[in-house]
This record gives sequence, C-alpha cells and structure tokens, in this order.
Amino acid sequence: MTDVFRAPTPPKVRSVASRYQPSYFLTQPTIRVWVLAVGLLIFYFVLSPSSINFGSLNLLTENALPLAWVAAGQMAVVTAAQIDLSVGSVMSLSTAIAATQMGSSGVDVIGTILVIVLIGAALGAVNGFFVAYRGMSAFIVTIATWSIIDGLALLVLPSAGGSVPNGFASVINTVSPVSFGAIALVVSLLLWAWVRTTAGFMRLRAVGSSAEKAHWAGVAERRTTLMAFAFSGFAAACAGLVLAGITQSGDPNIGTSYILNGLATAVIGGVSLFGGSGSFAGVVGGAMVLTVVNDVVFALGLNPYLEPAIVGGILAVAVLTTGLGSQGVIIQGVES
Amino acid sequence: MVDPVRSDALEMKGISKHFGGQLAVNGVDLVVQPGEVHGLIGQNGAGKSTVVNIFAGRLKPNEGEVRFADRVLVSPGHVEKHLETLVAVVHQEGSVLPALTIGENLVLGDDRPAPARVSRKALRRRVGEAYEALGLPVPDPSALCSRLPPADRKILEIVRAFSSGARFVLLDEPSASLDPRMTDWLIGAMHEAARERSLGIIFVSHRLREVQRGTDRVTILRDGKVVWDGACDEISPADMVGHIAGKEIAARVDAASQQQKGRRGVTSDGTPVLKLTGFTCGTARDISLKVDKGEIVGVAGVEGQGQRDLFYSLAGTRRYQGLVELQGRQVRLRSRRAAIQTGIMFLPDDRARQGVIAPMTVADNMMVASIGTLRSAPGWRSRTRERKFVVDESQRFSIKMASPRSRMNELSGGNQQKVLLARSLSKEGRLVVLFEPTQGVDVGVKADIYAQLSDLAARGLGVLIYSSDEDELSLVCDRVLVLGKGRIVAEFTGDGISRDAIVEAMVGYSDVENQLGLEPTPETAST
Repeated sequence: MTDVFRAPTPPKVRSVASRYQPSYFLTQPTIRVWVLAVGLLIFYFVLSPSSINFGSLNLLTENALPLAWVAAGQMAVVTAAQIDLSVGSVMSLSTAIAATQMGSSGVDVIGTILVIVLIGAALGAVNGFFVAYRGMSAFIVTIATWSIIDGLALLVLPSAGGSVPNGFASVINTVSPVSFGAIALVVSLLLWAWVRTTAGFMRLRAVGSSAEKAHWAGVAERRTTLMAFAFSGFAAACAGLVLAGITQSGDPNIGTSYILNGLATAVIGGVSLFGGSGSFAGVVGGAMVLTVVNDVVFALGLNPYLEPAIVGGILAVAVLTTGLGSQGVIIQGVES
Repeated sequence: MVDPVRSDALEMKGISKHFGGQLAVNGVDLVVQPGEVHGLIGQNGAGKSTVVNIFAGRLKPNEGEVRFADRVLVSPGHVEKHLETLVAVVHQEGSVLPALTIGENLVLGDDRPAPARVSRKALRRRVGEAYEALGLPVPDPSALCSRLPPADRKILEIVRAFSSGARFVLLDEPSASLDPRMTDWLIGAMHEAARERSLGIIFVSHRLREVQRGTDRVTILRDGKVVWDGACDEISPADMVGHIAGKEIAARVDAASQQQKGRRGVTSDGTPVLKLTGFTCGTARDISLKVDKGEIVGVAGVEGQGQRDLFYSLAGTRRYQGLVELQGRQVRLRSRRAAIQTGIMFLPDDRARQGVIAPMTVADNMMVASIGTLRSAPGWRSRTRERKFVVDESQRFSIKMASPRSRMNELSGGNQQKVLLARSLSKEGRLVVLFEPTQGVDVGVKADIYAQLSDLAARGLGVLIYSSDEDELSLVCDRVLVLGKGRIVAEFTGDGISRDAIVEAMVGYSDVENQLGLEPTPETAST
C-alpha cells in the first residue's frame, strides 16, 4: 500500500477562499463610527440650524483634537492588549510645564515643546518597562504612575493658572480659514496611513493578539510593548500641549476626564480591548462622536445638571444600535 | 539497517528533561536525516512534544545536546540564536496569530530584521509563491486569520514552515485538524519536500495509518524513552500499537475493539431517544435522523458539511429550524441550559477554548457542571460529596493525576479529555452528543473512551458522535451517517460499515472544489 501513497497528491484540495475575507462596508468599525459621527452631526445641525457653517466644523475639530490624540496613544497600548491609566496625569503635567516654563521666543517655545513630549515619552517608557520587562500588571503600574505624575504636576503648578506665550496660543487657536485641529487631524491621519503599513504596527498587533505566539514567531515582544507605552506617553503630552494652547493656561487636574474618555474613544473607534486590532481612522471618528454628542446636548438646551446623564444616554443608545464598542464576545455561540 | 549518521543530520544525543519531579524525556537519541520523513509516535505524555520542543530550542534539556554539523545547537545552558532559521516547527497548539492576516502571519517571522514596510504587493507575491510551491490554491492574503476554520489555519502554519527556508521541519500532530484529503496532501507535500529539497522532516501523529503511509523511519517513544527505531517498512501496525502502549494496554485496546464488534447489530424498538425531522441550521439542510436507545450513531463528513451546525444545535448554542424530539417529546433547544435540562450531554471539540478551565483544579473542572447536585444544603458545599464524586469519576474514567488539586493544565491532553468527558456525563441524561471526542489523544485513552461509550449504550442511552477519524467510526458505531453539503448522503449499518466505504462517500464534498471549478475525480464522485 505504501507505493500508492508515496506519490505526491495533485493539488485538488480545499483552501482558504475569499469568502472569509471580512466584508468591509459597514461591518468595518471605522466606517460605522464615521457613519454615526456624521449622523449625529446632521442631528446637531437640525437642532441648531444656525450652526451650519464652516466655523462650527472648525471648532469641532479643535475640540476633538486632544481627545483623538490621547486616544491614539491609548489605542497603541490597547492594541498590545494592555491599558494606560496614566495618560490623564501626563496631560496635566504637560499643561503645567507649558504654563510655567515656556518662554516667549520662538526657540524657547519649540524647545519647551520638545522637552515636554520627551518627558511624556519617557514617562510612558517607564510604564512600559515595568509592564514588559518586570511582568507587572499594566493596570497597577499605570494607576501608580498616574498618582505620582499627578503629584509632579501639582509641584510644578499647584493650582490652575499660569499662562502660555501668545504666539503659541494663537497658533493652536487658529480657526480660520482652517483650524489648527483640522490640520493636525489630517496630518496625523496621513501619518497613520503610513504607520498602518509598517512592520512595526504589524508586530504590535501580533503581540496584542498573543504575546507568546509572537515571541516564538521572532517578534521582540517586550520592546514592542515598551514602545507602545512610550508612544502613549508621547501622544498624551502632545494632547496636553494642545489643551494648554486652547485654555492658554495650565491646570494640574485637567487630564483626569481624558483617562476614561480616551479609552471610550478608542473602543468606540473599533479598537479591540482584547488587543490585536485598531485603526486611528476609527479613533478619530470616535473622538468626533464624543465631541458632537456634547454639542447636541448643549443644543437641546436642557438643564445643565442633566447634561452628563444625557451625554451618557445618547452615547449608550448610539453605540448599542450601531454595534460599535462590541468586543465580539457573545456567550451563546462563542464556538463559531 | 541503520544508516550511518550523515554530517548534515540533526542529531539529538542523550537528551533528558524533567518537569518538577517528573521525567518527561529520559536519555533520548534521535537522528533526523535530510531527505527523510521521520515519524515520531507514542502515547500522550510519552515525551513527543518535549522532544520537538527541545529540537526547536523552546525548552532547554537537563542533560544531553542537539547537534548539527559539528555545532551544538541546544544544550542545558545554551540555545543557538536564530535556531528557527534552521529548524521550523508546526506546533500542536497552533501558532497562527488570529488578529493578523494570512500574508502577515506568513512574513511575521522572516527576514530579521523585518522590512520596515509591509506592502500588499509583496505579501500577495509571498503568499502566492508559498502556497503554489506546495500545490495549493492561493488564498486571499488579506483574509483575517481569526475567521479561518482550524484546518485552514493549520495549513497556513504548514505552508509557513515549508516556505521558511529552514532545512528541518518538525510537525507536531499537524493532521489532527485536517480531513482525509488534506492529510493525503500533507503526506505528499512532506514526501516531495524530503525528496526534492532534501529537507529533514519529523512527523508526529496519533494516527498510525498516516505514519505507515507517510514516513520513511519511525521512532516510538514510551515513558520518555525510545522503545523502537527503524525503517517504517519493518514494523507492522500491530507491533506499533504494542510498542506505543505496552503489552497490557495493547490487550485492553484489543478487548475494547472486540467488545465493540460484539455489540454490532444491537438494536431496540420503541421510541427513539432522538428524532430529528427536517432539521436545518446553517449549512445543515433538511436532515432527518434518529438515534435509538442503546445505539451508537456516527456522523462523518469532510469539514464544513454542516456537522458543526448539527451538533452545536443539539448542544443548544445555534438557532435551527425543524423538529427535535427526545424520547417522543418535542423539545426546543434554545440554550445550553435548555439542552442540558432535556437530557442532552454534550462534549465540544475545542478542548482549549470550550473545555478546559486552565487555572482551576482538576476536581473543580470535573465538578463545575454538577456542583448544584453536590451541595449539602442550598448555598453550602459538601466536602464529602464532592470528594466522593471526584474519586468515583476518576476511577470510572481511570484519570491519571498527581492529585485532584492539580491544576488542569498539568494534565496530559488525554487525561484532560477524560476529565471533560466525566464533566459532560456527570449530569443525568438520555442522549450523549460528542464532537470529536478523541482528537489528539492516544490509543490507550481512546480505548478507555470507547469502553465508556459502549457502557453508556449498554445502559440504554443514545450516543451521537462526530469524528474525523473514520477508523474510529467504523470501530465504534452501530450506524454511520455521512454528511455532504449539509445533507445525509450515505448511511451504513452493521457489517456495511468500513473505513473505505465512509471515506468514499465523504470525499468530493469539499466546497472549495466547486469554487475553484475543479471537478471531483470520477472514482471519488460515485457514492
């Protein structure tokens, strides 16, 4: 019988076929989140027809920018199947340094910006070091650094105040003809178009999908994780700089609300909390959704104390009906 | 008979490895010659995977070394860097990253340092070359691996190993998730790679038939030692079983198969335990079947013919249309809970994901389904009842473990499977539904499981079993149904059941064939 089977079999075999390819329209989280964002925007314009102009769009991008950037960092970390709770404190520290240390000359401004983003990246790298090389839980490590960095921010600037140079503020606050926020978002999206094709991002997804398998496939999984955290710190520092520019001052507590909002933005934008997948294009959509929801509630003209509840409600309904934020875990039928 | 060791062979010398106090591998010598397919067989826990992992440099041995061309690759204190460029491995548990696409998985390990940019074009070319070289149709390189069925993931891993440029390829149970036709392909591909490209290949399998067909040399391990090593032609299947299992278990396997044969033809009249009428779910179309009391009914089919839809519907986890009757009473299987309450006991196939709760103890894993019946009063657990339950079930299924408090992942695959079977069968029920109950377990454990099945049937339960091992179906079942494109295309009873008949009815239903426009060959098309 051996002879029969020793001959190589001709290629009449089953294989992977295109039917397993994800269908990209609407099931793709990026497209769905943008459909939701545009839908909410139209709803907002219906409520408040006077806002239908270029200026309000510019304002929208300006407000969405810090959220999108901080969420970009969170996306990198979550794609590696980790979490970074210290981003808010890094933002606070950045505004504090900007509001106290930034000189008015051009060289001073650029120098201070560089120092701030380097500090952010370094703080992120510290998180990454403990998580990747010391095997500590990202949750615990970043809660600890959150507290420590908050303390540093208070040392630099004990209470909200200080000021940033006018030149810096006026660049950040440019709204016409095109806002700084819009330009920055477009530039970062273009950057993303490149980043997503890099081997580095592929390795990041591999690590988030399964660090052990990635390790055996030859990926430097610890360095990759550390880099994700460093990027998260860098992105948070950038977002902090934008906030300092918008408010023209510093605030050692301003970042707190961005911790969970940044995470929510990433999740709504289609980043899987289990790691392994995420798109910055979706994250920007998520930031738009969160920003427009606030405008919608404002336009409804309700009791301001009700605002957070309404924002939460609209968000919950929007996310549930579009299936966004679904993490693909449904107990019935997990087997498929 | 033993060829002299060539200077370019991969050689393992005096390897020993222990985990904790347990010796997994004990003084193993093994030579992989280029141009040769080398079968490695043995029971679960015999040390096959440990040997593979040491070859691959994933584990450091406690003694001995792995050499290649006068270089020491692996020794107790050293693992050669970039060993994977010489030795590629297809691991049993799978190493495909689900969040990545086919193309990305294929290039992930290569060209260290990897190129800065992963272009679509390069991926397409790479995937095309790799699949074509092995005579496979080329898949879409941007298909996400999380959506691939297990067989296609395994094929991807095999393709990756063969196209990596490594001179030695180690395949640890690659055929467990492949259907007969793909197994034939794999055997052909291994043979060709060995002959034409002079690769040295290690092939680990539990299916002796494949080892007989596909390998040039065979090494048999038992309890961490080499008990037989020689050319494949020089050993009979019966001797293989003898060496693998030891005389005592070989006798038990024999007894179990005698017992099965003795049961043949046992039928009972009266209401069937299970009756399906016009059952439709997913791929499964308009299936009508019944399982009588005391009957073992087998289902066969190449992957994707609706068997999963059928079995998982009976488990209560898929929506279906049609009539399901259990002992004459119509039931709706809306949920897992509903299925359990109607008396269907189910064993899923994906041990790692749907079975084993790894961080919990063996005892907890065994009791988790029936913990409610082991209480002394609502809300109070009863130590005595639990202990009795665990002791009884461990004996009944002859589960080997250090202690019931061992963690589940310390057990070998076969023993894990017995624990899961004990869990599934611990509730009272009327119908046992098993999906691939013996995947990746050795002959000894298989014999134990078969013995349990005939015991269940003798107690008057109905048994419905899907298996990708046709030998198993022909050994165990009173009746075998073959699924093709979601319908029952053949039925065999009693002496009409044979492996060849089942396989003949099965092949020709790979749906990809239709997509590719390939016709089934004439001799397989007739059923």
